[in-house]
Amino acid sequence: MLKVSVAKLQPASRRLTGATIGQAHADQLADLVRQVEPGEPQTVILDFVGIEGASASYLKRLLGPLFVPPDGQDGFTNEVSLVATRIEHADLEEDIQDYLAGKGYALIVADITTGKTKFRKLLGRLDRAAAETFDELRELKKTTAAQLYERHPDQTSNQTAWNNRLAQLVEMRIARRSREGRFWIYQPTVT
Amino acid sequence: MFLEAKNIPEIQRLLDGPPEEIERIRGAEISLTIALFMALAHRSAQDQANTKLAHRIAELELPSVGEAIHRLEPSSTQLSREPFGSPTFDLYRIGSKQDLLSPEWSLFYDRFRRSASNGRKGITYRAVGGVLGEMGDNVVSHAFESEDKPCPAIAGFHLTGDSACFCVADCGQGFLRSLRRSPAWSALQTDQQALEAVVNKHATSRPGESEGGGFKQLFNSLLDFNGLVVLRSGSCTLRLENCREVRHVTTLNALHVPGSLVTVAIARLGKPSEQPLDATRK
Repeated sequence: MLKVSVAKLQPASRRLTGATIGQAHADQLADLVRQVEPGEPQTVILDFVGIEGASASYLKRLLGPLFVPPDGQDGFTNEVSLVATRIEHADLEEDIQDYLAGKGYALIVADITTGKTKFRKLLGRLDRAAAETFDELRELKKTTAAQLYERHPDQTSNQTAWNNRLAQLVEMRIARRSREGRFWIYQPTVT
Repeated sequence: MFLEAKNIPEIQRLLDGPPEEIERIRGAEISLTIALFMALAHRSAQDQANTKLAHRIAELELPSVGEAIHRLEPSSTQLSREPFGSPTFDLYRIGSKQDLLSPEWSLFYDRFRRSASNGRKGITYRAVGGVLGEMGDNVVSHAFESEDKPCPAIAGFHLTGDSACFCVADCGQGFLRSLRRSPAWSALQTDQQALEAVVNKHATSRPGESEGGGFKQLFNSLLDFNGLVVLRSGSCTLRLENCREVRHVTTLNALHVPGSLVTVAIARLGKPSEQPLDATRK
């Protein structure tokens, strides 16, 4: 897990505006991500304490690469899940919400207390099926498509549909999966 | 005589004429836009070794032109005496990408937000500071032909009573040439088409981006107050006025003028307009 204070990225400002500053911060963030276990999946926690606002062009540069599939153009080579914490200013929350909703992205906001990361809320937009699946996943903490199909046989016509829904959450970086035998085990990035 | 953005083609005609022609505007009242435009004209004259014209511009004693000329000097400091203050007039040079990566840049546009809000809170004022930041950011991406081919550019703001104005002006390649770098906009033929694409379709030349965020933010935030936007590039000036939720757009084609500029004026009450600069500032 890598925790990065946005307020400490240079040039520092309480109100972050523009692609130029966004790109400078994204480059610093990418360097930090690369320094930690290259190639391994990891969670990046962006700490927004002290930040009052951020423009869409800034957020596009800073956050955009973190939502691109691994090895995608401009994305990170390893699988990175992004989590935000301490979004304390209403303006900033609105800025991030607008950016994410416009792009169809979602971002977990978590509280970190005594070293433990705890889910607080989701910013951005999930469609109804994704939201239902995410709620299930959060409730169960760890699950497979087979388990979800067994719990809700009426919601989808087959198990593959649950598989697709879960895979979508992984693609959105709000869930992780690992293989155990024949099955993919899914869990939320933050519980 | 009060000279504002719409008078730029006439002033350019004087600048293009014999050096003494520019004397016609001596003693005029001018807006922030004209002060920045004249300072850039001075810079261009210097760069082209036209010292006679540069000297005449500097000696016209137009308000704040001297300050802007000085600020455009690469060696002049960008440090503010009151970085966290709320002045009624301020300038910032954008001569390179580094100028935007300097902490002084964000302090500058935050001073505008603070000055424009004058202690009032609200999304309008937050947006206004952000838009100035975005417009300055555009200089590096759109006015410069590339990072290693910069051009002189300057941002400034001016506040009087209930009205606030900012301007970002440059000697760069203009909207048309910038947009035509993108395959999506390579068919644009005229400055007017380029400005209309920016206003109506949020056109951008940034690689991999379908919409320009800065102008979208500018026009969206204009919905919240009485605002005037003047975009000038090449031979076209587009004027967009938003007053009590009614929006008027007019375009004017005239003499080709190098570079481009964006002027935004907002008024809490009444008609938004450019205001004369304090004549005591030189």
